[in-house]
Amino acid sequence: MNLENVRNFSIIAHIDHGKSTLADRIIEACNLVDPRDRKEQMLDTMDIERERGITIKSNTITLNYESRKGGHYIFNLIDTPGHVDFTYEVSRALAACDGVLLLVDATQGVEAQTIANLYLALENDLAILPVINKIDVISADVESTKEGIEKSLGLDPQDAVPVSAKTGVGVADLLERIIEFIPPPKGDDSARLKALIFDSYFDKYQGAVIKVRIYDGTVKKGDVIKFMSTGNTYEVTEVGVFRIDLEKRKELIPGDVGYIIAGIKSVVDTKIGDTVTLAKDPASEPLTGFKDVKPMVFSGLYPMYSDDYDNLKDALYKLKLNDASLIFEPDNSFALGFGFRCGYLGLLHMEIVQERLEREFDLALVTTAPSVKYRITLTGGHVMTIDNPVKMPDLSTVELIEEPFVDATIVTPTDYVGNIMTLVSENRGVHKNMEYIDQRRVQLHYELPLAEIVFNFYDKLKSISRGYASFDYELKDFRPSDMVRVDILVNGEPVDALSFIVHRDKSRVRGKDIITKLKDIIPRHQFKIPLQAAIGASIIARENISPTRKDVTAKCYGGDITRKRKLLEKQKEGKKRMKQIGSVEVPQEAFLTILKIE
Amino acid sequence: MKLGVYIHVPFCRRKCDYCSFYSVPVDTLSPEGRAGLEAYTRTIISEASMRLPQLPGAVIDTVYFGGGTPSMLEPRQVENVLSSLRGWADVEPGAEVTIEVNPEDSGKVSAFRDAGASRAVLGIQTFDPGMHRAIGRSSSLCGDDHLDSFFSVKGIVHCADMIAGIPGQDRAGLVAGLDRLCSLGAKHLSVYLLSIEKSTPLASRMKPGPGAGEEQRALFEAVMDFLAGRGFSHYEISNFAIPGFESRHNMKYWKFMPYLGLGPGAHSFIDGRRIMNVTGAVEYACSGGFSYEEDVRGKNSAAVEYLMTGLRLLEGVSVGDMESRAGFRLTPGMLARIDSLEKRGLVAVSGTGVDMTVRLSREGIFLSDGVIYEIVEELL
Repeated sequence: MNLENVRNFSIIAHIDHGKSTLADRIIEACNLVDPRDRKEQMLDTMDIERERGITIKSNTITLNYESRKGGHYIFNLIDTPGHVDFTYEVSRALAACDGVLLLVDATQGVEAQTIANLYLALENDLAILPVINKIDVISADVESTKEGIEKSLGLDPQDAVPVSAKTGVGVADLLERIIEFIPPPKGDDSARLKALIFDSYFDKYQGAVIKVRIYDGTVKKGDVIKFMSTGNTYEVTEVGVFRIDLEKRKELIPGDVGYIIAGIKSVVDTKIGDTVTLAKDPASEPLTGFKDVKPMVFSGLYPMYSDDYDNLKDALYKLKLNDASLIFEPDNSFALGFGFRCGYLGLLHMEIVQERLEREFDLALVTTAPSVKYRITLTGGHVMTIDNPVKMPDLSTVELIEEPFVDATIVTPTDYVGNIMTLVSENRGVHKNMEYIDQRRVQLHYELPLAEIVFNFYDKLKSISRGYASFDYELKDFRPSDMVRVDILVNGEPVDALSFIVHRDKSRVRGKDIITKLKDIIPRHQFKIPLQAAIGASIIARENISPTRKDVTAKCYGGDITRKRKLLEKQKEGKKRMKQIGSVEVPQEAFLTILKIE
Repeated sequence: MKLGVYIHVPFCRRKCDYCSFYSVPVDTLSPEGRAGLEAYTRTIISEASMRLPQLPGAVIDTVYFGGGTPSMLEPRQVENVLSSLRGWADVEPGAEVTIEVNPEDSGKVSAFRDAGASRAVLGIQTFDPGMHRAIGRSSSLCGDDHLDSFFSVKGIVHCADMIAGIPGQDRAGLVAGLDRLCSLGAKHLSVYLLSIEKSTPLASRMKPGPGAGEEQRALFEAVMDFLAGRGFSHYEISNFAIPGFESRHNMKYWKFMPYLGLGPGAHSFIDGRRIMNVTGAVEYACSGGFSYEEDVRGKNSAAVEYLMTGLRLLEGVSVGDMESRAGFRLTPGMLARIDSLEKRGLVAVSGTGVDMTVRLSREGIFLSDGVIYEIVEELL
């Protein structure tokens, strides 16, 4: 097929603006799926994706489209993961495209992620076709949405295509506009192979399957390919394109979006953004934009029941097969026993990993408070990074602590600007600027410490804006901060799993918060239990659990001792769910409750 | 073999709001109610006739009519049950025969005595009308008339049951009530701390506040101090007696001695085996009093039960007795726990080896659930 008749594009949108529904309509219009087999949100394959309405792993599909004006076209619809944590993956998926449909919900207007996605598309030099969705909804405001598209996105509102992905209105016109608006791919099939890895997944039988966009050259079965970032080589066993299932092809040529299977053992070996070339005649330069992504958020992950340690380990390895960005290493906490220290791309990634472990592997987990990576310069000049509070060196040996800052974009109706400014300044944010998107909404730019974001910032933002504010961020740099480690002591014993790193100004409040919660959760004992929050040797907050004064039950009843025996057995059962800290028994749930920060 | 016999009477005119035990409402004024109790008595007699012959050599030295509300029975029915026991086993002369009596039945006490009862336990629970309402006690509030007719009966040991630790209960009032009972000649007083059991009507309206434990303890300490001053021995966590008037029957539960339970839901403990009768009154009647199952327990259960019940007695448990009755010797781990409890002032230990005894200290009484658990934990 002539390259002129190929269109490679993606749909980008703020969460819930209808991306998956629009993708479903496009797939339908191209008659890929027998209507009897149709499911909502075709491209979202995991339950958790369908439930949360987000895409975790991107999916890609090759469609045949017959233009109303005549002509047979190939549409490669490249789906992108839908969250800030996966910015890099999104940017690589976009790099595989020649244009995007920038979808805006006419009932919501432009949101923070719309803007963030726009920047990603612009960085990749893509044709951007604005699409206004949900025009069938009564509260749709197409004119304001156009105003937002013009003012805050800088796009020509004349280009905007109104549609309702739900009812299908406007979709036929949209498909024609795609042909006109998005340029066909370019490429030279006689040049050396250059293919972009924009995603990969693990298949039980085939190993890692890489998703590629071919820029130059061709690739076929039997070729020995080379990954330019790692230098690893593999022999290709199969190439093809994505239809409902994989569809084998003889070769992939420039402009194609498809897959390569080459006996690659793990997705860890397939770095997103890497360039695939031929081993015997390699390209001289890789494609630009490759980055080795590093986790930004860390937490300890422990099985609620220590017997589950091996199950947790297996589950993590299985998840890792399909999620190269998840990293973990064995960890041992005094309070929580054996577990893992895990690194995630961001908070959502963390939640998703935990939810999948609990759901797909049926594990009960205890998660420690999320932490970010700190850069510490010791007095001797030695520089180290830590992501685990227990690894924090003694403050007397520390010259400087630096923490990661992000550039954050918040889009909000003007009514909530005051609340949001307060929230941001409480969270040590630095205001950069504010722009009006339209008459009702503004775009705020801040620099914020990542540590504050991982500490429930997003939930608070949603609650103070009644769910209207949207938020996106990108890592900026490391900055010096007065960070301290707060230890929590139960009856004088530090509980390692509860230590956390926090800005000194907030240490007292947060320490107090935790011990107050602990006070409610730890049952009374036969003795008084002091609870303390401490920075080094200095106590910054204190509470006491007063001793039980009465723990005695009434009589046996006519020689029926079974109730009493059951009581003892219940005590024993209860004790199994306790963690012993010194002579104090702390219910396992305590860690769940405390680590769930409000 | 000395044997206690417990006769369970799971009938009440109306169930109390705090009660979490099985009971069946019976209207003694109706012909059906009376017929029901008559049928029940016949089934008890039938059960006795089947089970006692299986225990050759048993000499009954205590009988206890407990409930429910055993005083709903006619004295004639009590007498019939007792004579059936005599028919199927030896009953020791001077055997202790106890019956629980509700205030509204106090007029029947002399007739119960004539039927063979030697002890009567008056279920007062509280003299305070407000507290009586608060816990939803169904029987009559015990008034002067009830006390007069109860305590005026000669030739019987007068006992009473009280409840302490009702939220808002007045300490002075509680002690004054006990004082009155002492003056009237009560020889045995059981004082139970109110426990609010799940899924009782009381639980739905009474939630113990954070200070409830403290308050209960203060009330109970007042009870202990007062009764000690009146010559009562505090011999079991909830029981006080003028020395010599301890309940020999209840002692069997605490001392791992055999007893036969008759009636719906009654439990027996014979030759180290625990037998549970079918609970439902109708099922019991339909089975002719012959439907029970063994409570099959784990290998350490005897030791657990021995300690769990024995430590409730304030004289404590003796290691030698435990070895001979439960066939169990304290493990080094348990001895270490006991040592640690002693250091914390929760138990007192005297003697060594088989002469060693372990008993709750005053502080230990109040924390006994935790103390007992700590000792037996490794056996569970």
